[in-house]
Amino acid sequence: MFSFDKLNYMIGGGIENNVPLIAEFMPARWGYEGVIVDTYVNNEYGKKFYNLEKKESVCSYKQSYHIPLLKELLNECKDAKTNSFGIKTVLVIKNLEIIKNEIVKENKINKAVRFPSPERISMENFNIALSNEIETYFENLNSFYSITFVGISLQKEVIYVEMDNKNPEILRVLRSNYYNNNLNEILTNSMLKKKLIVLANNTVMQKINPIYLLPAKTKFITLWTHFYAPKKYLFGKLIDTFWFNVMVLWAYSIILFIFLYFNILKQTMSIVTLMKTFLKSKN
Amino acid sequence: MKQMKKITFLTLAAITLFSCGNDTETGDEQDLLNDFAYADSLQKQVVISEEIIEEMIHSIPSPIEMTSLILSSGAKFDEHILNNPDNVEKYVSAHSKALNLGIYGAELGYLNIYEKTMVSVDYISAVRSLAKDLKVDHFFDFQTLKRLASSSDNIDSLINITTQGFSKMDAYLREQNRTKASVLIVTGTFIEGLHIATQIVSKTSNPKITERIGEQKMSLNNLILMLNVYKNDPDVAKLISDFNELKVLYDGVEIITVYGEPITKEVDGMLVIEDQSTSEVKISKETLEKIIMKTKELRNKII
Repeated sequence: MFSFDKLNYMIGGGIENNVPLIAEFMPARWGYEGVIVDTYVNNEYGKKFYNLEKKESVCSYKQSYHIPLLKELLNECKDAKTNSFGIKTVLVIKNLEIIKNEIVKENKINKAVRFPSPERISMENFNIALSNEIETYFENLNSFYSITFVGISLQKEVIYVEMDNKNPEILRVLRSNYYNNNLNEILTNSMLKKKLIVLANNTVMQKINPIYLLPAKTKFITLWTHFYAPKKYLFGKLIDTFWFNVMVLWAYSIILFIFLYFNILKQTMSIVTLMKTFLKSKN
Repeated sequence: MKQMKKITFLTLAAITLFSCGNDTETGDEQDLLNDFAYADSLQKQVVISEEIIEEMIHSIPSPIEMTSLILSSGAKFDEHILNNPDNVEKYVSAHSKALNLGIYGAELGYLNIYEKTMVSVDYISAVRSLAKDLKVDHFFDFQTLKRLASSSDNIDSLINITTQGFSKMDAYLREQNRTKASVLIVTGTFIEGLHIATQIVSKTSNPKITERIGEQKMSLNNLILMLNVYKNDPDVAKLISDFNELKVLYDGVEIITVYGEPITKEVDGMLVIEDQSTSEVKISKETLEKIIMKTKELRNKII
């Protein structure tokens, strides 16, 4: 088995694409994802720690990859501005656009640390004051996530200690029975070189820890989401990937049943033949 | 029939419609505020200057220094004194993970100095697994490390990359308000370095290594001071009381520093100041025996 990223670019769309369109029509993709995600999340170990680990993952992604990337982009802008030898305008515009988009995204989910009106981040408005403001914001954001991370780890420790006090063996047995390192490796994408990528539309896409990443909120159904998403949206409500995928498989079965029942395939083909004969007779 | 076709069409239309929902809103609706408040209230209890901790951490010798000395003493490589990489499954709490990350770090230093690259692959995997659980694995490019470990020609780069990885990780942990983890990793490295040295001495009674073991007195004191910052944590409190027992034994070690006037020399066209002070370590056989035993006991409690 190999990941979709490694498929031929023409078919798979490369690393920037979540799941290739062709794969969405394969029952195996839905079955496999449903089973593997459910195995990882809904077991005795996962039930205790999955939620805390999910939050930990959100924080560590921000601390280790997301904020450092944005800081680097900002530094590039600063260098380009202060360097009088040919200002790299294209680079500055692109970087600021990425920073702006990511801050807008962050503002939506973060109630504690906010950046006031991020729309003003642009090439024209970019000066030392704004750059300092963004920098301070990144610092605050980083300390918010780092302190939160510590809080989550402490809660995890509390659970460990409680279990340890009851019986020191429980945790070990739980882990050896329900925790699978290889599964973890697959579902966290940890061997991937690029932990996050900048997309063509100037936003950043998280590639690691897909199992801890919720899909983008939608009012209907999230069909084109990242692989190994733990939950998916159905009419605005989050439901487990397992049940979601089972529903997709049933939907496919029903559609194919209808196709068979009404001979739709044959009819389409005869329409094509009819068209052909019609075209021929016209000639 | 017409009716049914209509239904089929409608079903298909509905599916296509639903599948193109708007993707603009992010779904990360986790409320991290409570976790933040939880940590924030606890953080305020521990007030310690980061500079002091940093200085103390740097005062603890790196495993490379100790193992280089062991290598130059002519001692033979002994895999049995190391912690088995399979043990990594045993460590579940963040406390034991951090301590053992330090221990495996020291083992890696020992293995690399002896150019045992084939064996070190297992230890790299152990380090990786622990680092991943502690969310600090991004300082180690494990694919590169494994590639380097496949041949003993790359030993220098292997040592360099591992050492750099550990020091970057240390800096990161302190920057991200996780100094405790950093202190625990250093504690693990320290005890394992001492364990390797004492085990070698118990077999070879090499005077140079014995002297080096005696010199650890200062580092041990610093370590206990650092651990004391986190004594509210019951796990750390246990660790402190264990280390204090070792400290009592170390009280029998005498370090006499003979002050010498520093001299300046020209080396390759550069002026170099050379410290002429020498220190002599006095350590009795019984004390050494006791330290060897205690170190083993302490280390076996951790692994």
